[in-house]
Amino acid sequence: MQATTRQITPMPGTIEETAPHLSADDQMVLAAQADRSQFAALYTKYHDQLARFIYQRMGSREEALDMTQQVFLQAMIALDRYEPRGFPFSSWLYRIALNEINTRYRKTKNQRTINIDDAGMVGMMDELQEPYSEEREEMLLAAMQHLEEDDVQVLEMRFFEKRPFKEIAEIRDSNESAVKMKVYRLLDKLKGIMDRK
Amino acid sequence: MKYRINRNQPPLTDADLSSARDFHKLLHTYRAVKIPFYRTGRFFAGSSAVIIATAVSLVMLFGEDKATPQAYIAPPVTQADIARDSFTVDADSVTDLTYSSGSRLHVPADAFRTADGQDVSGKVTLRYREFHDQKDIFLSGIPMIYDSAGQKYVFESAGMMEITAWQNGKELTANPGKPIEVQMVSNTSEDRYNTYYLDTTERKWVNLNKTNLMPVGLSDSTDAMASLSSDMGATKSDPAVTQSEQQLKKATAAVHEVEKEKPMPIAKADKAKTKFHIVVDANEFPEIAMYQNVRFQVKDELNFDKNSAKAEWEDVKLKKLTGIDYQIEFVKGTRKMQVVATPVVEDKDLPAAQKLYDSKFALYQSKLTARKEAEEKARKEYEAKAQAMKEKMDKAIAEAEVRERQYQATLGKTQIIYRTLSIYRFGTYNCDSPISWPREANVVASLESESGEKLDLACLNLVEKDRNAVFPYGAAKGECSSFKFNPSKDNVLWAMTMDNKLAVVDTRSFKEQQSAQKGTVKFRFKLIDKDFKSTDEVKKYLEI
Repeated sequence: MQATTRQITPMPGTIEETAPHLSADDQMVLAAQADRSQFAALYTKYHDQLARFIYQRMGSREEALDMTQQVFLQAMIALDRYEPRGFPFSSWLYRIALNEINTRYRKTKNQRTINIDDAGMVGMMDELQEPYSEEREEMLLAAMQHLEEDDVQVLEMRFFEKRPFKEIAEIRDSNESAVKMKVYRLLDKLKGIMDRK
Repeated sequence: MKYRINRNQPPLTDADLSSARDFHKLLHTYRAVKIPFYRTGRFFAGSSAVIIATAVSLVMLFGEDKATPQAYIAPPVTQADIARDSFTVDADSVTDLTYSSGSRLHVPADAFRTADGQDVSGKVTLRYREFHDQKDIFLSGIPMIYDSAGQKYVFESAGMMEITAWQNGKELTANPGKPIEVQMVSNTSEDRYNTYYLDTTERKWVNLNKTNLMPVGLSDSTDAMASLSSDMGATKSDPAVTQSEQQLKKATAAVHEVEKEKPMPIAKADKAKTKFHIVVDANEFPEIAMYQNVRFQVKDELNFDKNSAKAEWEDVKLKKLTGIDYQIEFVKGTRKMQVVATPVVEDKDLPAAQKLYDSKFALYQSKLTARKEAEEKARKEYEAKAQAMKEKMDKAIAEAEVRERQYQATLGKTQIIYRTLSIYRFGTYNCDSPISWPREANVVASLESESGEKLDLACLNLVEKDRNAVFPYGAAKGECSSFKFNPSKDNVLWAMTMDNKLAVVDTRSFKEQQSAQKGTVKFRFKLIDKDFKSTDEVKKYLEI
């Protein structure tokens, strides 16, 4: 968990330097790079969360589970190019998954599915400082239709998957401040669209 | 509309996830589709070594005079290559095909890709052929040697097939996500055969897996298997149980949601201690955000270095500790500083804060009680349905086991069966068991025509009547220096001369000529000087 802040008061205290180290994930990757049957450990660890991540962006459970296997296959093929950068291995899998999902929607020309839930919508409305009403919620959903795919991904991760900014940054290969900035700008944009209607 | 909004989609269940989790299948697919060696960076470093190694092995196998390697797949009688059947299929729809042998091909929609990985639509030509006996193997020219850890074996085949796909004269690749399923007719029901894929780039057979067997014409047995899977599947995914389980999970989640809303009492500020203000995210810390004018009061004043407070920080992270304390971390680049603090309000704000806490806590208590009651009700319903499901599953398993035993009993009695193959890459697949060359007799074979002239052979093969394999030997200048065979078997020799004549030694002649089991044995070949026009024509001369 972490707080968002726009105004920071200087504070004293202890200062610790972060040192690079080889995580458990990195060790599993090294083993799998040498022998793909060792990929089983990473597969077991990340299968379910990756399947849920993909399902969140698709309308069919069969299609989502099928794509999960596809993403792992892509990961096994590309594994030799993976370099540990201090992020969890899952971030790399999520990036492959987002790429596969985009490719699938582009090829099939189907509408991109956004799976929303009540809690996520309430969270977004709160963040927009909007008093909750069905009418305003409909306006918010209509406003989301004006966003680009990349923007939707960020809001999805933040409000419907409730991911911390740090994790979103890792998945997007970005930094935390940039993600925070993007979320607030998107919320401002949505608010602007809603108010114009 | 740019996006399709889907509200409150039911989550993936544990049953969904566990049934989809299959690393063995993934690894199998990976091995079937892995990047060809020549596309990897290691190719250029390793290619010369591979070429040298291939040349050396050919020299060892075929004798010093044949150091120049032939094409990898080289039918010995060009005009008698095993014919391919062509099927036209629609790439966008499902097609079921039957080959002349009775083998069945199930082609799913979207099964093809272009060489550069693009989708394929429209008509596609599938070219397919099979090889079932020693004559087919000999005439195919497909190398049947398997290298396992440096040890060479010959394949004894339970059926081999080749499948390729074409569109507008260009060869297509398979979509590994939608493999074509081939049920290939096999002449043996033994289960010792594995599936191998011929990697023509690396010039070797790759072991894929054990083949799946299914008898032909045993409708009762196949029905029993289908019924077994159907029963198990139906019981595992009983919708009533799944629905109840989902209801329970939802109810439990609803309890946890409320528990997260538990209000936190706010402490009174201590005037002697240092305090500071940060703006918190109401989504993540509603228990703090609900109060007005909250400050964070440093807990351990003694270790609080006020001189360092002048530093400017780029980011701040807040983490709830046990009780009412929080850990606050300030970050600038790789520098981090942590302090433990307690949220507090000043005296003037305390009565309002206390009132707010009391009302929120009463609301929280009543909400929590209602949700816990709903959870308990959902739990009882789920447990009742799960028990019923368990009883149904136990019964289904017992019945399926009986059917499985009946099915297994039919397997050994069946002469013709299907072997099921999933096609992740187009090319040649073989259901095989590696066997060693015979070794009962070891002689120098003098290879001669019926008139006693030495024969210079392009290839020399030994065939045993009761083993579905073709044993290749090296020959040079009319001689094979180490020719091993089993004198107790019915053997024949099939060869091609350098001037493209078929040369054979039939079973009777072989027996007459094999007298010596050491030293030199003269094998006299019958030469067939004929311009063959078809496979059947050649096969007449290859009788065993």
